[in-house]
Amino acid sequence: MVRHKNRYILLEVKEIGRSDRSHLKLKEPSLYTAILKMVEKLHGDFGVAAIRAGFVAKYINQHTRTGIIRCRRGPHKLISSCIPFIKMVEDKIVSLNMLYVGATLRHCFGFLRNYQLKKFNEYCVSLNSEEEKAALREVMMSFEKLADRL
Amino acid sequence: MANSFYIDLSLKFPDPYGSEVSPVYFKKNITEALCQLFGEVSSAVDIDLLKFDKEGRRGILRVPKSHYVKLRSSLTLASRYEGTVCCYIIHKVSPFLLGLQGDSRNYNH
Repeated sequence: MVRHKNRYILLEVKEIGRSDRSHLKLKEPSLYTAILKMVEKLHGDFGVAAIRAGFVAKYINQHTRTGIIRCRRGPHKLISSCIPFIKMVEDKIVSLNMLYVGATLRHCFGFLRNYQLKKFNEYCVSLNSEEEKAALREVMMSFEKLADRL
Repeated sequence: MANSFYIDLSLKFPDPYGSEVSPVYFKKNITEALCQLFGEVSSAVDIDLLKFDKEGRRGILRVPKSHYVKLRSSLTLASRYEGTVCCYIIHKVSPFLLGLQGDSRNYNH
C-alpha cells in the first residue's frame, strides 16, 4: 500500500464589519459545511466526491479566528480554489484568508505558533495586569488539545 | 490537430411522443447536467449547439477538446429533462465536422 499524503491548510476567518480583535464564535462543523457547500457549487458532485475522503475542517481558535483543514493531496487544489469564494458561515458574513498550506501538522503548528505569538503580542498592548496576559496566553498558545481533534 | 470535438447526439424519452424540446432548452439541459456533475467552473465553458432537429430531438454540439471527457461523462449521467426521465444517445463523435457526414458503416455498394 502506498501511504496517503495529506495537506493541512490554515485559515483566518475575518468577519466583515467587525474589528480584527473581537472574538468570533462558530460552531464546530460550520466551517466544514460551508466549504463542502462551496465545493459542491463550484466543482459539482465530482468535487464533493473527490474531497470527501480524509476531509476534516475545524475552527480552532476564536481569539485569533483561525481554522485548520486536513485533506488529501490532489483534491486540496479544489478546496483551495473554493476558499476565497466563501462569504457566509453560519449566517455571518465572513471572508476566509488562507494563511499557510503545509504537508505535515508539525510544519503547520510551527507556523501557527509564530502566528499566534505575533497576535498575542499585538493583543497584550491593550492589557494591563499580568494575570490577564497569562490567561490570554494559556488560551492562545495551547496546542495539545488541537492535535487530538484532527 | 483540431482543438474541438463535434458530438452528434439525440435526446430520448420513454414516451416517444413526449414533450416538445426547443433548442434553447436542449442546450440548457446539457449545461445543467455539466453543472450538476462538475460545477459552475466547468459549466462556464463554451459549448455550441450547431444544429438541432426538433422532430428527432437530435443535434450537433461543439465542445473544446479539454472539456470533451467532462461533457461526455455528464451526458452519460444525465437522467432528467424538466422533471421527466430521459437519456442521451451519442451517435457519433469526431474532431472534424465533416467526419459526422458519414463513415464506412453507411456505404451503399
